[in-house]
Amino acid sequence: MRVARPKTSTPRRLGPTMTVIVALALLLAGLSMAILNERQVKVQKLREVGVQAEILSGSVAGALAFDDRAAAAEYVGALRANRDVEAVGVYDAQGKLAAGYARPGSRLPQTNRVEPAAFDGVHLTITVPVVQGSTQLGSVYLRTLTEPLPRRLARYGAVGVLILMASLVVAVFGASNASLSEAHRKLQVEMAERARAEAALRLSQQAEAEAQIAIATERGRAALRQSEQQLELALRAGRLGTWVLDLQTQRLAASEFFRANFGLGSDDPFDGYADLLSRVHPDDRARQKQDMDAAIEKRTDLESEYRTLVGDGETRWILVRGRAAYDEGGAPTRMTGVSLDITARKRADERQRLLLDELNHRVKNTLATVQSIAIQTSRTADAPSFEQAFLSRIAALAQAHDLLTAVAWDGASLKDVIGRTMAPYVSDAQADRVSLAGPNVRLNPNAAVSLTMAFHELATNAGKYGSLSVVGGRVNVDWRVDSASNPTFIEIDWREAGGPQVSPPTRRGFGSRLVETGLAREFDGQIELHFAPEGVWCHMHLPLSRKMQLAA
Amino acid sequence: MAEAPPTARATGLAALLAVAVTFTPQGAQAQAGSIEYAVKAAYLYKFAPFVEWPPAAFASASSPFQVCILGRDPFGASLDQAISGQRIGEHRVTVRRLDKVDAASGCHVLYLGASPSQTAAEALRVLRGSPILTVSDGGRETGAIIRFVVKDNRVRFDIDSAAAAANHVTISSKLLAMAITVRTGTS
Repeated sequence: MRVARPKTSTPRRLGPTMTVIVALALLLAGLSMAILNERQVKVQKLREVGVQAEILSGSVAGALAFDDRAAAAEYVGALRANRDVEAVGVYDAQGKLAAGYARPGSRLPQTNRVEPAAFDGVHLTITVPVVQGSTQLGSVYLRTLTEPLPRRLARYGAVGVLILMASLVVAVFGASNASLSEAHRKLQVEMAERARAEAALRLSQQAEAEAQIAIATERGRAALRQSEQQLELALRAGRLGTWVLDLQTQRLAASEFFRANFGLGSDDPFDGYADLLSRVHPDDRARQKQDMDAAIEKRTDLESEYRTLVGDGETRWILVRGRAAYDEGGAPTRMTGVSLDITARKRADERQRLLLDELNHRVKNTLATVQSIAIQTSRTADAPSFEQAFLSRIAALAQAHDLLTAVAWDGASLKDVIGRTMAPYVSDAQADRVSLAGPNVRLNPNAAVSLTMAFHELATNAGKYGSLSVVGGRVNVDWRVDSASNPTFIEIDWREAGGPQVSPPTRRGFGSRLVETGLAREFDGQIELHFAPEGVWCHMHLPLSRKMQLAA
Repeated sequence: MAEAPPTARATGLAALLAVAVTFTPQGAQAQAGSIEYAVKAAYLYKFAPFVEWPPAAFASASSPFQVCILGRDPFGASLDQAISGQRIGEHRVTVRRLDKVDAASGCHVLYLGASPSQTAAEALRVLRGSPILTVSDGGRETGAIIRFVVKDNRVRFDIDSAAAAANHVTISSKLLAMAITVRTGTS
């Protein structure tokens, strides 16, 4: 910073200059006073001498009127005592001298004429008329010294000495004052520089402090930002919503994810606990409130799972965790927490539970099926064939289970069910002996197992006695639905050809009963099983109810 | 003060009288008397500036100032010459010669001469209280306000200020100072 140098020369010059000016002013004042005094002295002298002349004039009126020169001379003589009076004369009405005298060196005029008073150097001459009433009786002449020169010189000399002394005092005072002014100016400069230095130091300290604060603040902010970013990242990664509920005003501050848990965008109104409750599934509202009240009262962490209504009849499951804060008096002030959408987990749980139920059901069904197979096989087969027949049927059952397990018991296509069932009876090289034709129809697990067992019986019969028991025999399976878009029933035809001539069986065995009775009953359908001589023909007419079909 | 102190006054008139006597031995008495009355005639109006009359003494601001001579006139033409053209303020000075005077005569200065019709004492009695400066001549008391006296060959005068006061005229101290004696009590 550039510091302006103080002006040093001007005040130093001003001291003596001012002193000279003051001295000159004093001199002028002295002269003015002398002139004024001179004038006043003159006026005073004029007045004094005028009064003397008037007194003389009044005194000699009678003497002049009655021509008493002795009396006039007496009055004139009385003025001799005044040494300033140099000449005095009394004149009659004709202007002729009646009485008078003159000091040496002065002259008395022989005739007199009344004229204005006149100063003549150090002399003053006054003439006044002698008037009695309205009659002029004569005149008076008076000439005096106004003030002797030595006296005037002495007077003015004294004044001059006084002025000189005053000027000297002023000069000394001025010099002293100039010195003081210089010292004062230097002090001012030093003080100003010191003040500037102190200000600069203060500024520097302040700047340093501010810088330190800024650094600390910036570090703190950076750390806070990092922490916030990490938290945000964590919240986003975990798809965690955050929320703060003011327990006194019931106002709610919700994050983007928390709002999303309720199917809301950032602009939708959602700022009160009432809004929240209105979007909780009606069946869960009481529990939600109960959980929250309990957590606040017992000062425990809130952990609550409930469903939210996200619109269009859809619901979601959320897990909410939170903790209340309390003031000094122990009153709850607010509750802060996070939320997590657990819909997927809940659905998985549900599905698992359903699967377990289904498995339980399947196992029971399978065991019942196995039991039924064993009983039926034992009734229709003799001891040596029982084992083969039983194992074969169990294998078919297992195959159906394999197929369903492969698709997680989520149903199977009709084509896969028939294909897998036929596989043990035709090698890959003879695959063309079996033709499967028809639209894709998805079967539910029950239907898949039942149809597997039914086609297993048909295939076993064909392999043992029918077209697949000889080289060149064929099986054609084709099926159709009444409507591609919205089928209500399916017709399946099993036709054997190229096999030995068929003769109707003498009694109905397990397979026939399973196909004709069991299947028809299970699916509310109609099954026709014909043992025609050219080959077995089975026609199935089955409704595509939910009992049978999973999906089109 | 009953009388002004007598002072030695050598005046021009005395010298004049002396010269007149010295250089006119014949008829010196007549000459001296003539000069004396000439001086007295001049005095008759010279008193006026030193005397103050009440305003009622003048009929108007410009009415004449009347110098009256009762009875025999000792001044003759010298009086007329002396007052010729003289003015007392705005008042022209005139001379009246009367055998008898009274309060209505309009005189301001009255010289009491010898009159067969009215003695000086009678005139003074008649005029007592009137604003008239009465002047008498001679060595005896007449009761006039001013009485001419000759002392040391000079015409001088005595003043009876009580008589002046009785006649309501005011005499200046300057005139009193010129008097030989000033009588303050009534005679």
